[in-house]
Amino acid sequence: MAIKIAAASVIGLEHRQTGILRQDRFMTSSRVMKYGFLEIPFNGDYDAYVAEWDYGDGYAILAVADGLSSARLSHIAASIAVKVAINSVNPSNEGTLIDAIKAVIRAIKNEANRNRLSIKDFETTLAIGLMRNNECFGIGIGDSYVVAINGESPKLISSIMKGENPNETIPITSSLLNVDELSINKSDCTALVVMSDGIMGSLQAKYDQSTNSWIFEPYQKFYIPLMRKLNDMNLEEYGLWLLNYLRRLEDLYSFMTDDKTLAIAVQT
Amino acid sequence: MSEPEVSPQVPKLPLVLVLDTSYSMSTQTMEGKRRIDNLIEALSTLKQQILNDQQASRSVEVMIYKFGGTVDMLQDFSSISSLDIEALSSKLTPNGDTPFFKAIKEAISKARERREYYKSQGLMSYVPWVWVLTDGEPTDGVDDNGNYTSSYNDAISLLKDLIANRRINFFMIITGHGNDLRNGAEILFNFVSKPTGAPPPIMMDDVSSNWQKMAIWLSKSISKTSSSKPGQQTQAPPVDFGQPFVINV
Repeated sequence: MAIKIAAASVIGLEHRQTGILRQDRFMTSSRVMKYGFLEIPFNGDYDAYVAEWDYGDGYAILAVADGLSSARLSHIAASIAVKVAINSVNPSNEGTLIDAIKAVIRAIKNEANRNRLSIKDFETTLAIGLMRNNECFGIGIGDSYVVAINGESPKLISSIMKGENPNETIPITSSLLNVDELSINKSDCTALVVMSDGIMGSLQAKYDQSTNSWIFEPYQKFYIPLMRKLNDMNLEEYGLWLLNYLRRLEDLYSFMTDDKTLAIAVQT
Repeated sequence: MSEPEVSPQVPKLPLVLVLDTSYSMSTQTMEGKRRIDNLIEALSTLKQQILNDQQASRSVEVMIYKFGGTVDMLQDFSSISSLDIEALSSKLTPNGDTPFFKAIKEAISKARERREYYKSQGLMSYVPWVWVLTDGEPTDGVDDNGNYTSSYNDAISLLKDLIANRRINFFMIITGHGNDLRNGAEILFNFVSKPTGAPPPIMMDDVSSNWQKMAIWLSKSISKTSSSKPGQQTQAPPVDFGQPFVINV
């Protein structure tokens, strides 16, 4: 079974204006690498972006990390997080998603210790999605998240952790996080999307008074065309379209000033 | 720039216009126009200005109330592009007294309900804007015995609560001339701003250019809000169509 994968990440206005590096990172994996890896590195203005795509033949792993703005080296933490996550997941065993989270935490702590820096300098969120045949699995720490699409129905399959204030989140290295209590969510699917929270408006948030908590749901008008386009378009064209789309969002919706990252896998 | 096929949701901005259509709105200004005609022209400008801003036009949902003799909703929440100025102008006929507080209560209740509706649907939204425009003194604040009416008490109580909890952006614009304008503003200040914490009324001298400036100011402020993140505070442009009422001591 062929799986198309595409991902893109763009720096947001807030970071461009303050001279901060893009703090979102992504990585994808699949069994057969037909196109390998394409990365467009930072330019001198820090208006950096990357895009990569390849083909898979039965599974795809997508990881997105969003470094916290308050942490000085969060872009490094985010890079470590996605690389270690992708290398730690065994696609035939969804239980390894938890192992991947543990491996990422160890790797980030090691990096901080090695450089004699505080772990607070390395704060990042992380979301990992695994698509295997017609099943999707997701896990998320912080406010990056995983959406499974089955036919025309998108479904959030990771938890979204917010801090005390709506603009705060829980990093993967938080002392508040108990990895053993994390759960892996599962759904039937034909497509998988993993995103950072910079693309506002891709989720709907309903307040549930009975549980005193927010319930997040994917916004269908965003996900369904996104998936259809990947089905219909030439893969290279889609990769460039996605990159330009994320860059254009800021012009269309000026409240979207954060870094924006999206990775998608679709069965064809 | 056209709407992309892949569309994230745009935060909604409810705008409620509460318009005085009491008999005094038929007053001819020194320019020979009726106040109500200035109002209709200002509505047309407001619509066009918001339509010129693609993001604002996608975000704003406008509701219109009139108060003159009776309080009536002329348009339920709908997109700015669907605002039919010609149809509205036929309904904006000066008539009757000024049931200001009844109109305020209904308008702010609807604004609050709309925000709750957005929440129930999981839609992002901004704090509602309620824009009240009048040329005269309310006639439903006190009864024949000099006691506050239930319309007054209900409107003030609800408005106070919404303002204290930052659930509403509430503006009062009063138009007229000279002492009449100042006296009317003083009444609104004492009866509305003082007990609720609402901003003081803005006194707008009744000339066409001010009505146009007011429409442009409102559209600019709306544009600024609709380009911010929901919850983020924005600075409104300086008021150039009138002066906020201040007490001289």
